[in-house]
Amino acid sequence: MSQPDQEPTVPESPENVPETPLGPMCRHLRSKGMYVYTDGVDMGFDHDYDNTIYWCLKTMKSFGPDDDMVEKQSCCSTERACYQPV
Amino acid sequence: MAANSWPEQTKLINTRIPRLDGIAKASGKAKYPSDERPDGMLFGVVLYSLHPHARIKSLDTTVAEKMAGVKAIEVIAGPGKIVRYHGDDIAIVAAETEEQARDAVRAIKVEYEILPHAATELQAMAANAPEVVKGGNVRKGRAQITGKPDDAFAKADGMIEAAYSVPVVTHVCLETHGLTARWDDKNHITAWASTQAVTATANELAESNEIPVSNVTVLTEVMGGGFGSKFGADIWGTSAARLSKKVNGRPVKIFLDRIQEHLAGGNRPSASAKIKLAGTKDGKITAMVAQTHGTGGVARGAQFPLPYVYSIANFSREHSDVFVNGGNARAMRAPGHPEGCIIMESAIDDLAAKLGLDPVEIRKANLAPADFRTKIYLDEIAIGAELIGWKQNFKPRGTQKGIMRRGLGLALHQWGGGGANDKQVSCTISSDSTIELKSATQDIGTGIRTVLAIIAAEVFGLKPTDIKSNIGNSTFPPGQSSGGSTTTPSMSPPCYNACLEARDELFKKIAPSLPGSPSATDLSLADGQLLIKGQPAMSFKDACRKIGMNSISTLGKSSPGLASNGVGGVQFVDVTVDTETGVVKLNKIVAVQDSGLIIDKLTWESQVLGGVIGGLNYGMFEERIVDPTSGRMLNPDMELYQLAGASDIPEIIVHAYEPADQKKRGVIGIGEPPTIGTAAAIGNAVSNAIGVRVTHWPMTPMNVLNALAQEGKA
Repeated sequence: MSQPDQEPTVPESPENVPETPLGPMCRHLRSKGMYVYTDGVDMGFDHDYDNTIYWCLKTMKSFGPDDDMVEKQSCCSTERACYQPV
Repeated sequence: MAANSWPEQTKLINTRIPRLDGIAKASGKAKYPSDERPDGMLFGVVLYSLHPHARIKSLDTTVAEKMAGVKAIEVIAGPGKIVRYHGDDIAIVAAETEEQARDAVRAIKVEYEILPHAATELQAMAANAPEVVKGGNVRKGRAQITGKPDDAFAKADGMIEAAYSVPVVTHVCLETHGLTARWDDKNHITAWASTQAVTATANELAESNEIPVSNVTVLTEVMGGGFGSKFGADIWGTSAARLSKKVNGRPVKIFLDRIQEHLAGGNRPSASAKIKLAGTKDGKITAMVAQTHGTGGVARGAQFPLPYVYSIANFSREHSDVFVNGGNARAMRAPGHPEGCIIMESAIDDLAAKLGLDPVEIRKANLAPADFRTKIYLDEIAIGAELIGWKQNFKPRGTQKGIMRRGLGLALHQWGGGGANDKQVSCTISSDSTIELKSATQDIGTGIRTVLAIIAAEVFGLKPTDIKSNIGNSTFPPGQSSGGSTTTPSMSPPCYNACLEARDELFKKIAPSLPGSPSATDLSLADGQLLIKGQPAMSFKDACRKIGMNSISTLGKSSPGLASNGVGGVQFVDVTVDTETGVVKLNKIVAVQDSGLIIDKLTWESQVLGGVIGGLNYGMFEERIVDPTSGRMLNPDMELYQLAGASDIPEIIVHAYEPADQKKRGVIGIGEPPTIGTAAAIGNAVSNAIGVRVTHWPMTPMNVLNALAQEGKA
């Protein structure tokens, strides 16, 4: 945690990354929202921020069997070694 | 036929009804999952890493395996695996007693290759920082840009530039994370879980053990808090099941101890922001530029909504998630909103001070014109201002003298709180007049067991205590996981429809056998009586006897019109600050909250009080303190991790905003909203009192004195 007397080092110029469509997610990807919003109803949240926290059902951790992070983007990629389709 | 509105006149709904399990909980009779002791149960204890970042070179369990009472060991991170934070799981021992398991854990020999760590954001963001995750420690989010901020800044009458920050706070559920798992036979598991999602936990136990989900029963009769952190089986739950299998099905209990709960049970990410905010002299905000970041440990999740609540035509925002070697974030009551609220509400308050405007008025001037919440906010602000005594007691920032200074502050918040529409509740009426509800939801603390009973009692003209309200069993009809303030709005509609349908079935079935052979539409229920054309004919009990041997059973589903989504809310805080010691005393908090139709005003009020108390802990006390050198959390216990005691909690006035048009919206969740604004309002009240902004939360003496010193006012 940055302390109040120390200037936080905020990275400059974040990429203006457009939202890109993702492939089908790995069947082991999990998040709280998957269990709560089971009917897919839009709950009115702002899509400009996504603070979803994911875990992998194979490891029950935020890192997958390949020791890489569990994230929506990478867990929808068939190129990931541990990816398994639904 | 399913209902599309709640009854206009009610006897129970929208009144104050005590919890059905209140006495059991208060007296200690309620059996929590961690209280369960199924026959033959073994105790599981977790060996966790004391290092923030290390590779396991070797792990030797041979000594531990031979120790007294030890029955099985499950290795989670074996040789070659990396542990990424203080508290990361390595192995679990199952033994006859907890003491034997702890002794065996100490006997496991682990050889580590210590890796360089980045346990704080400063460490993680430094040049040449050790890499916490592949691809770097700073993950940039999608930039937000609306309008032309630069042009708007050039034309503004005034602006502020400020930095605000709030630390990581950990989950502190009274009942720690965990479950007890038992293999009933080769294909069936029963688990007693402290979870806010019995169905999710059953799913994960089933999938991780490769058995059908219908072969798993997860039981959660009551549970000791989750706040977003108890979804799914967790590594401890799946390990308990694996250990149980190794010992031929003996139940294995794994619940974290308090230290592990702080280290690995999840946390709310930090948030830091550099803000520029500009406005006109009449208080209209014209531009905002924000650079923000936060850490969710070894996970993402540090994003938060900004701008928050207010309408700003020109803004840009850049956000980064920072990865550190720390326990990973989990959803915590209103994920992202308390952080966004603190940042936004501090900035708007500071702009009001800069422009010489009343903090109440600048907020009213910047509500979104097209948002349905705007009228709600305006009404709630007026009510809250009256209850806190704003007109009489508010003094502009910087105008107070003396050592003890009193200040007022406020903050607005918002949330969704709508329900899922695919949930079900069954209602069974038996000939002995038992009415039983069932659904695979669970009571995270919001009182859903009581809420369902109230709805049924309203329909059947009975008392809530007459209803068997059965939840907390994953084999019941599909119920809502308790997250996002969705339980009550998800479960109330199917419950109401199930009860209406069952009542109508009852009428249809018994009408021919009643005196005068009335039609089913001539029948009604009230005060424990069956009425024929409005006249009492017999007791409900006697009426049910006419059902015969087969009970009436219905399965209710949701229908439009009974629940809605989207709430506002405002909180005001009154504080006194000792400018010599930096001690902040909370004098009073006012919470004005809307949430559509309130089913039980008592449990609703309890939710708001709990939310405010959680929020004042965030505002006043909580902080995960990490030693940069060792990378360890220094305060993972209930002594050094500060929380409010009874004397720290001020008078809290809860006001339900529920005019007729609100009630017509139907049921909306209340779990999240009342915890969002409290910490922000406390910060604003402190700044109002002492005349300078305390930029770093919580409002501890150190942070208050630092702020005064930086302004040369200490």
